[in-house]
Amino acid sequence: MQQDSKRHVPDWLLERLALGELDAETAADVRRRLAAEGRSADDIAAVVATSNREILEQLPAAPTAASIKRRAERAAAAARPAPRRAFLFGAPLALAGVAAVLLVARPWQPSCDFRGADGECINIKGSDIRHQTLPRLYLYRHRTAGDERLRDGTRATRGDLVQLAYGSHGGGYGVLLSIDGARKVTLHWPEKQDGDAPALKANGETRLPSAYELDDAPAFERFFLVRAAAPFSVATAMEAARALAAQPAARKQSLALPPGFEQISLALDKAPAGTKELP
Amino acid sequence: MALDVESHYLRYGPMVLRRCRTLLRDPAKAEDAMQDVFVSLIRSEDRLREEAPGALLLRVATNVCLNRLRGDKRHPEDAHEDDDLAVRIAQADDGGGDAESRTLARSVLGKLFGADDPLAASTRSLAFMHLVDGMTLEEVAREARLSVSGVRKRLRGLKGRLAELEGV
Repeated sequence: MQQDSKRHVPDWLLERLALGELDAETAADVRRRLAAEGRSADDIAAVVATSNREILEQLPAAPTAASIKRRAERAAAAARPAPRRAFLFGAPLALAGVAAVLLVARPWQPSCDFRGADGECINIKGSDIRHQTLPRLYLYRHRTAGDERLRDGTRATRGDLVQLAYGSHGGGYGVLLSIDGARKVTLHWPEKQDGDAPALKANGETRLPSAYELDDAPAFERFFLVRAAAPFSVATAMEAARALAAQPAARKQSLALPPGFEQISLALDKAPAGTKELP
Repeated sequence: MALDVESHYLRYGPMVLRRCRTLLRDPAKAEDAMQDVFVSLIRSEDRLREEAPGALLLRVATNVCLNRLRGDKRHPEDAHEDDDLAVRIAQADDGGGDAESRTLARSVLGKLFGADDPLAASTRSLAFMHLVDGMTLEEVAREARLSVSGVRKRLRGLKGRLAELEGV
């Protein structure tokens, strides 16, 4: 029911009347109002038909429809995510989230047991003869069900108890230390910095007396075994470690040690606090 | 099933173009907007099963054109043209309604097109249908497939927004 009979019938309703799409009640009301204005539905239909004819002459159906379809196809193509571009630019945060989930759900399988002085990947079971004589560094994470062997690139979290061990078939002297994402250097073995590096046991694997609990340092904890055939001061290794820890590339670069030293490293990537690895 | 664009254009294209011409007052822009309306129809073809194409297309055309007008406002070269926009659109309602509603229409539309997205596009369309097309709340509700109380509530929000913009 119309509230204001003095209003002109809106063009909207006239268009719908001409289309024959108005419900019976509304159509009757529109006709009544048109009559009150001195017009009729037929008048409207004639005006609309004339206008339609003129428009369709200006914009014929076939080419206009073809143009609309092309436009729709372009719009659809633009709306479709381009995989490569989406990967690079489209949703970095979303992908970061997915990557984090994947890493937590299925920890990255690192390809190296540890790394040599030049970042060379070293696997203990490798057949390269050069590796057979190198010192070795082992890390284990204490688990209720038993220790878990950690390799370079394994993810770890604050509170993880990490057991360090070394192997040195050739004996010699050595220091175990670590640097972290907070640029801190930690001496793991020997206990005191003001002395010489202790002799390494010439056997397959020797565990340190105690485990090390990872703190909340961000990004990484990178462990080093520094070895030399002759005695050296612990300070030599610590100074090299402090210098490296201050570098932006501390996660990957090697210690700057004098000639005659060997070094191997193994880095753990720190997961955000509170992140729990899934089985 | 793919939409038969040509048959829909034959039946509804002229009506959509007239609607776009009324809102945009520019033949070239209206023709371009008309094509966009049909592109929208292709992309939301399912809605055709729920309601008559005429009402749907008129609403989509209103949305598309109001969005165009808002977009044009952002271009400095269109500033003069847009300054007259609210008045010209309001003048389309000269023959009906009372002086108060026409004044309100001018004011509301000026604010709508001038402010940064103060309202949802659908609410702008409802406002246009009521204030410029001169449709009653019942007619707006029927054509937009909303309840009268829903339309009234949204337009009340519109007036509240307008009062807020004017610092009343």
